[in-house]
Amino acid sequence: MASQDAPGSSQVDFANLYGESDVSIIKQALISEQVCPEILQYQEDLVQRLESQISNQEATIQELNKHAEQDLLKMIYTVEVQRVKYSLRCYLRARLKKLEQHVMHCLDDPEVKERLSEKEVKYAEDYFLLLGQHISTNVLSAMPQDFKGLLRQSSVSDANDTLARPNLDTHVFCKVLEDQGNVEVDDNGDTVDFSKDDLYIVRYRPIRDLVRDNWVQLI
Amino acid sequence: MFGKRAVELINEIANCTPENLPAYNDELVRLVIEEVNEHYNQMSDLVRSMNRSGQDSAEWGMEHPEEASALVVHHACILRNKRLLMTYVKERAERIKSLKWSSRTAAMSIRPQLSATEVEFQQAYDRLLTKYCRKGTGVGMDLTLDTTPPSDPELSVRVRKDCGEVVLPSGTFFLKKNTCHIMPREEAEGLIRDGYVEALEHDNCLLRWDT
Repeated sequence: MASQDAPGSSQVDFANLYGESDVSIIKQALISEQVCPEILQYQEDLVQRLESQISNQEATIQELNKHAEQDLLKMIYTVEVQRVKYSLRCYLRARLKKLEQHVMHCLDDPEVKERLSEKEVKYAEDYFLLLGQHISTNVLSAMPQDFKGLLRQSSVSDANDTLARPNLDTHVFCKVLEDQGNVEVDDNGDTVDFSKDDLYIVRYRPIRDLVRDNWVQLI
Repeated sequence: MFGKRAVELINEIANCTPENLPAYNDELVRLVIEEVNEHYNQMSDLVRSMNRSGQDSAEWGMEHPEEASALVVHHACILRNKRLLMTYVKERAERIKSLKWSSRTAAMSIRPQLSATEVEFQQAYDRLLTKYCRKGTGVGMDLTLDTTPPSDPELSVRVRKDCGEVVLPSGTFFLKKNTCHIMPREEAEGLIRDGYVEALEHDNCLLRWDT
């Protein structure tokens, strides 16, 4: 039935609807977010596009409800939309988890804060307040003077030294998307030739910028 | 030995499986805090005697090596105890949080183990997350649902507890104990997690959450 639809009919062709790319982009974004030690740039446009596509598809499904003979098609559409929703939720969940884990770091470093969505920033602020207050009432308020700080071990500490920061020196699996030539992979100046389609296990820190600029993909 | 009590606190949690939580150890926390205050008093005494001597700290340290090292040890003990206490409270908070993500019934059953402030934390976290999931103030999707990749759009479930008529987006279900229903997976997941229904097929992921 679906295959017999003439082009231009009211049926929405879901290859176009999702555009192969958006689904694969969210899939990659999800994978990167799950394996990367630090929180990455929020894909605002992508999420918005997917959201509108999901609601379009859901409207189509509603429409199909009226035609009993279109059950198979309806099921295919439903599975499709559920999969996309799942990826999207997973993506947001993965971000939220990292956000909670390093909440102070995310708010402390303006460069990291930039990468969050507006709602994530709000969430992080509220969460930080909540956790901070919880720790304060239970522990810090009972500590002697000079040791009451949440961010500092004691009032003579030089900097915020209780902040947990993500470990950027952990190793990640990655795939090279474009020829990169020699890339320095450690502090001794050792280099590795990154050519297209190579797979490596490397420390995250040296390839951080390459990942950000999409030359290298985390897998 | 200094700092031993605080380590006991941490061990209490460490010896517990991740989905469980020992009761909040009020007494031990109080003892650790007392220990910290004792260190602080001793440290303050030493600082005062240093100030009385009128020398600068390096000079004083050369002349009174014993007092100087005591000062350092007391200071280190305070920091260590503070850190352990913070870890204790934080780790408990983490576990309370993770329950919210996995099972709502378990979140309730853990209540007796929590201190009053922890119950407050649990409720506040609940509100915070709900706010983030709601449309308008948040992303508009319940992120705690849909934790496993979907396979079938619909799921057959058996009712475990009478809960009368339930209105779901896909229609109204009359959930009487031991009856079976087919409902959209998304809607079933919430009910499964609350322990009202169980999945009939072994969907390898959507099993009962609360047992």
